Amino acid sequence: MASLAQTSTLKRPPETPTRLAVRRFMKSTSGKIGLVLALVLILVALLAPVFKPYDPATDRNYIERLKPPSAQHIFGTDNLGRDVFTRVIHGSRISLRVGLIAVAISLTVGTFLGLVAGYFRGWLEIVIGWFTDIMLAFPGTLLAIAIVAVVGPSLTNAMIAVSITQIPVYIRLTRSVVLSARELDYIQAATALGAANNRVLFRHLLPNALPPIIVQATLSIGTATLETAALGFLGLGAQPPAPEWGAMLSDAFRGGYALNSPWTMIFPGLFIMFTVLAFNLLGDGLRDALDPRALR
Amino acid sequence: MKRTLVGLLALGLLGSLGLAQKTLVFGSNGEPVTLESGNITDGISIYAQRQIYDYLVDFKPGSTDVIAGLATSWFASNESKVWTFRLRQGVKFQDGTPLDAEAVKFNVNRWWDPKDPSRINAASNYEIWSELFGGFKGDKASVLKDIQVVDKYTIRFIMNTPVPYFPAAIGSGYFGIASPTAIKAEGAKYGTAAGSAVGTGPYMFKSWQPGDRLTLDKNPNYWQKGLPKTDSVVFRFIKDPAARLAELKAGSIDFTTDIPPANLKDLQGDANLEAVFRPSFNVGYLALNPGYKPLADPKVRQAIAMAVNKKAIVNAFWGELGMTNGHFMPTSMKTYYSSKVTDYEYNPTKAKQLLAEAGYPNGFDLELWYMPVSRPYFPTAKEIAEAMGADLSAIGIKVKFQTKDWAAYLNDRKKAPGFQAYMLGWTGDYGDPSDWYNPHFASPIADLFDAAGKPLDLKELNAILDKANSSSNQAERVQLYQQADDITFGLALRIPIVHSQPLVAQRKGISGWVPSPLGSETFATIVKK
Amino acid sequence: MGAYTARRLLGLIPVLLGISLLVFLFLHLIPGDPAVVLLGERATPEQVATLREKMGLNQPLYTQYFLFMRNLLHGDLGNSVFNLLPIREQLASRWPATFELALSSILIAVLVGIPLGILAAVRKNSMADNFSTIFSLVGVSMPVFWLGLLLIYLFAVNLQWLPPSGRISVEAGASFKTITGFYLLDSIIQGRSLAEVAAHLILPALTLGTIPLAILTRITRGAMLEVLSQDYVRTARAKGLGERVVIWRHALKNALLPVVTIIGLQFGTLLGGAILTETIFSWPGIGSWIYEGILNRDYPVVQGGVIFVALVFVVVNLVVDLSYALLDPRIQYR
Repeated sequence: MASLAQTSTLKRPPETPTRLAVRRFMKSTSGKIGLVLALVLILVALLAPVFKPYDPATDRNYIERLKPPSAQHIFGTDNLGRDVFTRVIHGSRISLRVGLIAVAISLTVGTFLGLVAGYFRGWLEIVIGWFTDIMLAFPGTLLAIAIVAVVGPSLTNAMIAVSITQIPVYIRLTRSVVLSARELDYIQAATALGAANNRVLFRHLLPNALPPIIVQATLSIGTATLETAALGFLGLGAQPPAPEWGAMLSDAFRGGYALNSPWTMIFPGLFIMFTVLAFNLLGDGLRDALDPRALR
Repeated sequence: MKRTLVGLLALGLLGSLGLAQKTLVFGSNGEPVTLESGNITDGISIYAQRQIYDYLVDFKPGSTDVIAGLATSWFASNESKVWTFRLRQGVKFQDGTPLDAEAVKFNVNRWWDPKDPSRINAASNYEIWSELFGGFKGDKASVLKDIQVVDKYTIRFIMNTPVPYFPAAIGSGYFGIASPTAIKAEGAKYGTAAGSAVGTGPYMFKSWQPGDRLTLDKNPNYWQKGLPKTDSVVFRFIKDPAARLAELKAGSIDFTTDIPPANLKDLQGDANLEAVFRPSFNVGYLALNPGYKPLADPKVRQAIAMAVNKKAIVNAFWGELGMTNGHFMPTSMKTYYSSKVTDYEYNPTKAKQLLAEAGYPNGFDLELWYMPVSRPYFPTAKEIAEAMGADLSAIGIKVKFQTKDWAAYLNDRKKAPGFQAYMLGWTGDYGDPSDWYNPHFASPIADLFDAAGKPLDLKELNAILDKANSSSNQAERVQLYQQADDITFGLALRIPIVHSQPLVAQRKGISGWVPSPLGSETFATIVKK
Repeated sequence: MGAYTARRLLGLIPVLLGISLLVFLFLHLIPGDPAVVLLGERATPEQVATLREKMGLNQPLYTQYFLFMRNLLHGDLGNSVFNLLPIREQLASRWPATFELALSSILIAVLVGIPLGILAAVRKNSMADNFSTIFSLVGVSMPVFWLGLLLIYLFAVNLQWLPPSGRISVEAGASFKTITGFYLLDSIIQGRSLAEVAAHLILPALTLGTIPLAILTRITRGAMLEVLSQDYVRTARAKGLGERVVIWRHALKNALLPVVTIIGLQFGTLLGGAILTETIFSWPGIGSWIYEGILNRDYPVVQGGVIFVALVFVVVNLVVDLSYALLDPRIQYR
């Protein structure tokens, strides 16, 4: 970033990196759309209890089972007479929370390991690299499923499994940034001046790695949402009565009514898609803003 | 219809073959574990085996009444301690081996005797024999003492105790009579996809593609003349109900079982399909484990029986497909109903009062386990659990839902201290009350515990069941089982939630299918237009 | 090139060891005695003892790992707990189904994605470009299991154009011989049921192929744009070469390199995604097999399936890397 900011000083008055990023982001159509979608989703999640204060899990009406969309139930009702709309908007709370936590876990662990590997090199780098290669030898979905098969199905376990599969991405990303950044003059200088390792790591190297990490983290929220829903669909994730979108689809499929009451499957799926889309777009926009050289 | 794309494309290729061959396609809700008889416990395997094997006795279509099978007649002597069966003559296995008393003895030994040399599969243990008949050869509790070949077509079972229900039990779907020649020849491969299975039944094993389908061909030498009425049967393994219904609508399967009740309306609205009800022969219950302190008090258990709105739940989840009446056994066993039993009425206020009397005015925490799979008695266990949970929370019981994969669920409930409360059910194997009471209430009860964490021992009830087990006087047995009905109702250890009529379906053009209350039946009588 | 290949192959050894270690530990990480886990709930103590002895569970962990590796190298992955069949045989009978599905999905992705990406790049900012952008964005965000349900609902249940599940109908299956296990190939060899088999393949292949299709469209577009802005393309244009020649002769050849890489990587990812697709379409491949294994607590199946997929994944990645090195213009032209 530093070098880019310097080149622009030649032409116009100095601009801080942050303002430059904001300006670039606002030029990105996908970024703007993604931001709006994500904000709407977050708002929906926050306001879900206000919209429909009743409990989406236990509020049921047996007589109103599997009713198609109507003025009263705009998304129809499920096999227990629960309002699909209510369940879907409450589902956004689960999905966003799971997405954020899963990404936070993989980001923290992965970035730390990547920093360590890139900075200290030596056997640490070899071991961490080995670990990364092994993890990446399994397709992500399969690895997550295998982990849940070992630890047992639950939303928490699914979340942890999904975050584990994402760790190698952050290791590789951070390590490569650190490897190039540690050759930079000012970091060489800091090291030569005898700055403590952790100071160099977290004060100097980490900030360099941040932009691509932020971009990756945003994209990861989408991936995590998708994978968690997939585990939920297979019955290996969220358990009842949680209104998790994947579990709702699973109910509809395994209860046999997905195909004769299609609203029970259309809306949860749409929301999964919109959530993933929102964070993918937002990630694209952030990449344009923060990391314009990255290959698209 | 509109199957234009496939239709047009396939027409040229298929048209020339001519479809004179009548193939019946069954949408099976899963894959058989094995086709080896006596070594299974699951309904899917039984269904497939019913087509390949015959049984010593059979059941009247659509009922639990015992009729002649491979045995044409049988009688008990010495107060039901000796059972003699006369075999049908001239019957041959599909590989040409003659069916005789030696062949029957070979099969029974294989199931009963752990040391039998024809038991090859290391991981098999023929558990079902021990479950139904007290134990294996050499076990103290084994009801069977000896098997004797009286002559070529007469076989005799000598029992340690009177077993009045023996014909019905030995005729249950587990115990198909297999060809000794085939078992000896194939060894460990017998009954697997890599081997075959040989019986005397209407259809013969042709091929088994794992994960996909099992194909059976007509047995041209079947001893029942005129049967089977189709040339082959294909079991397609389609686990999920939505997918199976889609196949049924598309016409790529002819009939299927295990359809969640929520789909009844949809079936009735489709002119090409026909909803069929299987006569009820099951119970779905909520087990309350007295090993969990609050549930040790019968008042608490009765409070739960009152708090759960069974009628509303049955109405919501089964509609016309289910009923609840407080009896553990379904209505097809109503001879054995006690006239004193009328179900607890739904009454949350009274339930709360009972809880308070028992010392839990504010309720308590309860882990409620629901099954991860669909069973005829609880097709949508998870949702039903949620409904019961909502009713229980109304009287202050805070329910936490739990589940595990199916095998672990079945296993872990028997590990002390067991599950606090769990859903399970039972489909009868044969039409005798012993098949309902013994597995659930005979001491020691493996899946309910006392305060010390030992399997529950109900002495009074057990004495009654023992007496009924050994009596060959039908009137006395009826009276004893009515007493048992009374006692189990009061104990409220297993609260009967539903007796369901499982929903099955066929396409128009299929006729002659008579679903058995026992859960499986032969397809030999089915006609396809 | 030879040296590079050798280096890559050598580098695989620790990864393969790691995979085997992880899969070996899999059984030991599951709570409970592995022998009990393997035999299931009905096992007698004697059977457990016998199996413990046979599996060498009474020996130290490293000895067990050594035994596991020896069996693995002999292709012995044990037997299914559920139906007692050897894992190796089941893998052999099931992998063609998965491969046929994955290959068809990739084929759809390539046949649709690359032209769409080229079109979008050549006509930048046109309607076609906007469509392809939206399409690829929505495509990568699509939950495949949901897409599968939607396709079944639309094409199998409502329109009844295509079969909802399975690989071949019962009518056609009765006289169909499985030769290679690749049904398309088998039907060509036998000269029958090709349309049947293809019809069964369409919906699952579309479902599984959507994500790679979206990614491929996007990558192709990006790579083409990059190449079209390069000097040599400008030169070619300046020389007065026709636009068609410029695009097909000069630009595409160079743009395809990253595209080929993506195709390879996606193929591996597809094997993971196949679990969901195969479950929905009752497709008798590795994915539905692993899933059934998990539901049945059939751990040897899960173990065998996971190690198989991981190995294929590693091999595919290797091939991609090697072909990349082989095709890389920097190596060719310098």
